[in-house]
Amino acid sequence: MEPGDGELAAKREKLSAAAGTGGEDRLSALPDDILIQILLRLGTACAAQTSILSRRWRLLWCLLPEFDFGPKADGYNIRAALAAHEVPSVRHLLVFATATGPCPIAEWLPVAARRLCGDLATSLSLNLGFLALAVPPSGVFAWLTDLSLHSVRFHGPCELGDAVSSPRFPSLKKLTIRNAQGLSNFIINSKSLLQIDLMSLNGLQQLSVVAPALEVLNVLFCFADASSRRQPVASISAPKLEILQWCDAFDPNSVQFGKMENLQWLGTYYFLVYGQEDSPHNHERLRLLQHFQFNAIPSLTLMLAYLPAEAECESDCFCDLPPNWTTDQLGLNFLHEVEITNLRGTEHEMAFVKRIFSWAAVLKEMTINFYYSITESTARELCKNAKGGTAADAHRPQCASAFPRATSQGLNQSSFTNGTVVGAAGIGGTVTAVTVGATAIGGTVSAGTVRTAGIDGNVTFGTPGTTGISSDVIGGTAGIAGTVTDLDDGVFPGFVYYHALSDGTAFWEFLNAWAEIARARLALARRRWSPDGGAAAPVVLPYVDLARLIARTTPPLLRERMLHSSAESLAALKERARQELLAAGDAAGAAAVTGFQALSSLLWRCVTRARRLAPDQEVVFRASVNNRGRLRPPLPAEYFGNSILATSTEAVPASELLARGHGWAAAAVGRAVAVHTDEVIRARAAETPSVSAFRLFDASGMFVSSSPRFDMYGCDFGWGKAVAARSGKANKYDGKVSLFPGREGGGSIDAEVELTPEHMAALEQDDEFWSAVKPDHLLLVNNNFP
Amino acid sequence: MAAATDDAGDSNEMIRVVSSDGEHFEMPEAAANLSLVLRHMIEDDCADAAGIPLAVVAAKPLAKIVDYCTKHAAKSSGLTIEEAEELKRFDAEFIEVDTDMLYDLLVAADFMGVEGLSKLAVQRTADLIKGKTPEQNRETFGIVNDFTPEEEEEICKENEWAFQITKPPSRLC
Repeated sequence: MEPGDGELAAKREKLSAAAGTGGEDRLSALPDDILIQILLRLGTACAAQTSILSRRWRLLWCLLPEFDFGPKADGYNIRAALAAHEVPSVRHLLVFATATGPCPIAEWLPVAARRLCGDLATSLSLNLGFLALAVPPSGVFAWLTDLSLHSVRFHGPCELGDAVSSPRFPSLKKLTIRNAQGLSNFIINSKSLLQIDLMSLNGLQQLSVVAPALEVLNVLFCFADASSRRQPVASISAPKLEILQWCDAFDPNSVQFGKMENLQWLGTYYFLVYGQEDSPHNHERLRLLQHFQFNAIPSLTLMLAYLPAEAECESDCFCDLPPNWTTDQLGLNFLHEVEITNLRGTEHEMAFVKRIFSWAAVLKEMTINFYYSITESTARELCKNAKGGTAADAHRPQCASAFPRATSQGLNQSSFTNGTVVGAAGIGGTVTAVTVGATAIGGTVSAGTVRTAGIDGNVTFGTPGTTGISSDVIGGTAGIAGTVTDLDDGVFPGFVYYHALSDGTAFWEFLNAWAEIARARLALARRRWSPDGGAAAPVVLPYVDLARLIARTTPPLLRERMLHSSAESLAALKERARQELLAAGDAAGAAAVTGFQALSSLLWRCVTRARRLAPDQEVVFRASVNNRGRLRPPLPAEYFGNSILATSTEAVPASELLARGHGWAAAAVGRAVAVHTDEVIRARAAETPSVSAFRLFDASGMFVSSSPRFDMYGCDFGWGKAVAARSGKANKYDGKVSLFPGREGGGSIDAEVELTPEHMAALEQDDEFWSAVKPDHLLLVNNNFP
Repeated sequence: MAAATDDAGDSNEMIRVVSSDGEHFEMPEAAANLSLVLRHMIEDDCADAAGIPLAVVAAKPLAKIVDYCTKHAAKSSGLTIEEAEELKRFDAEFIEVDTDMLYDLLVAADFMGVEGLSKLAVQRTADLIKGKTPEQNRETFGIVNDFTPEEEEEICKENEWAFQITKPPSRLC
């Protein structure tokens, strides 16, 4: 047994000792994993109480993956819990503090910062009940993506802006601060922030935001200090901003917005329609709108507010004007869509609705949610009246009243052609051929059912609460769902599509784009590869009930580490293997070493060492290998299907693997891959097909899958290069490694390593290991607990 | 589509298992399948007439586990409300065991990978711990207090918040 193993050994001894004494305290003798499951069901506070039972229990509760510190926990408790946390894997940290004296947040915040550094927690939520908070002068929250501070009072010179900016929060994506006091000057400079929500920062005088990636900025009631009417001073530089909500004081002289070419949504305070025309309130709103100069409003949302009249208006008040709105002649030449909520149908309102039809020449859709007391028949009548006044019939828009879940559905025509369902647009309506279910029996389409709501396809009515689409069709929450049935004489694709998502034009555009990809990419890939060139019949699984093939295993307690290996360190690792092989006289092995072999060797040896296996325990290294390029002839690049097999090295006693060194292990991995030839693949494919459960466990082996050759970072949907690639929690077990390309490319590799907590803890102590890899900059997903 | 024929695994074969102390038990294959370990063994054709040896499960808990699996396998899917409630009652009675048996079940269910039973035993243990004073818990589970009084006081202080929240009627804290 190696040094450093003392703790584990002590634990084992304790286990056996307890078991040997006739099971006196058998509860304490249970493995940590089981005890943690028990503690999880007690809740954090009750779990913490078990610390008093005995030494065995003292720090057990600190292993909980979730902490919910109630209002009674003070900084010292939190610090103690975090500091005592042996295997760092806090998924979630929730702190709720109340105003009872100065809270020594500085006690634990730096500890938390360190803890979260090498760890998986990405969200931190603090509700501090207006406790005084002094921003700690140091501490880097390297992995925190989401910071939310509620009810905070800052005292002393406030450096919060400095704290949440890039150097100390390099991964921060979302920042929320609500109900803060004492924050007068807030300067944020962050390259990573995507969303900032500031609400009620009482006493804010100056706000400066420089955030090149920022997409959403919400500033509500921060400067609005009615008593002082101080001038807001702000400077916002966020060139990628898409959504801006500025429900706050605005003065173009002191509030500066930089270029925002992507701005799609602007929210302001409400606009007072009644009352004094030149109210400073409205004046500010107008100036804000003017600042952004929206000359093309594609969508307008109106909320009609009914304020109780407090005093009689003057005789020439705005609200005394004739209710026909004819005095205003507006040209809303880009308005396509109008949504009105809580319409009561007063003469005044209906006149306004009619006017909208004439102002908005290209209006396509108006959605009205009536006030709850309006009956369906009244709503129907009101809609008819409103539309009756439309100026030009050619542009008669579709007027639908609806609850958000239920836009009007109409299927004007549908036909079945060779098992494909085709829906086409009717006149004037939008295509909504979306809910199609069909049954195929015996290879031909014998029955099809088409379900729609609102068959007239043009105007449907309903009061709030009416749903236009049957929930059993849409079922869950998916916006689109599809099935493809492979018939004997055709293929039958069917779709369920949520109409709220888009109109028919967009739906068919989408479907055609999809089909185009399929045509281009899959044409070559349709024939399944088999050793005899496709002559054999497809394999039929010997089960009627396929559920028997699905094994749902509970994953063991695992720790996951993302590791990054740069091109340089890989090259060095490769060179070390080469030198060792040359020294051992294996020139051929030395010449053939690849980066993959070198990294695999490192992982294999270090993991084997971390496991402290018996010296004569045989170990193997397995990896999934691609057949595509190894087959003769090779498969086309577009081949769609599975063409991988597992290969393994020769079994070697653990002690020998460690003794023979890095070069030997790298060469062994190389040999395992090299023997995987066309001949071997064909021989294995020709074996009688068998169905066996996916084996997830080989306590002494390891398995490498996925590949740094997969183009993961080229997969750009138009939002830019992905931040990270991760593989979720399925099929994970002790010793599983998944390889990804490094984000910077150039031959760098990321490795996602799964080990049991104690093996991972041992691995993390291994200097040889850290000489070639470093923790990846982003750590996500703890898959230990479903 | 032509109906595929059932393989032998679908039959109502009895699976034999052998406890660590050499006792033999039998249960229907569907019941054995509730244990991940047994299911893998069966799939690997290790279930022969000699029985699957379970080296760390003694006869006493194994008898209970066979009972549990047999009951749950018989009522696995498509339960009526009455049947579900009956199964709940069965579970409640089933887990009314002394602590010795509870530990055996915790360990055995974990080892054999019987998920439902693991959860049941874990919840039962948690229920036994909840709302008790440390002294009561030590007594129930035979936990020896190996702290000095000073250490004990320190821990109380350290985790004062936890003891305040649920207020156990403790003499110590």
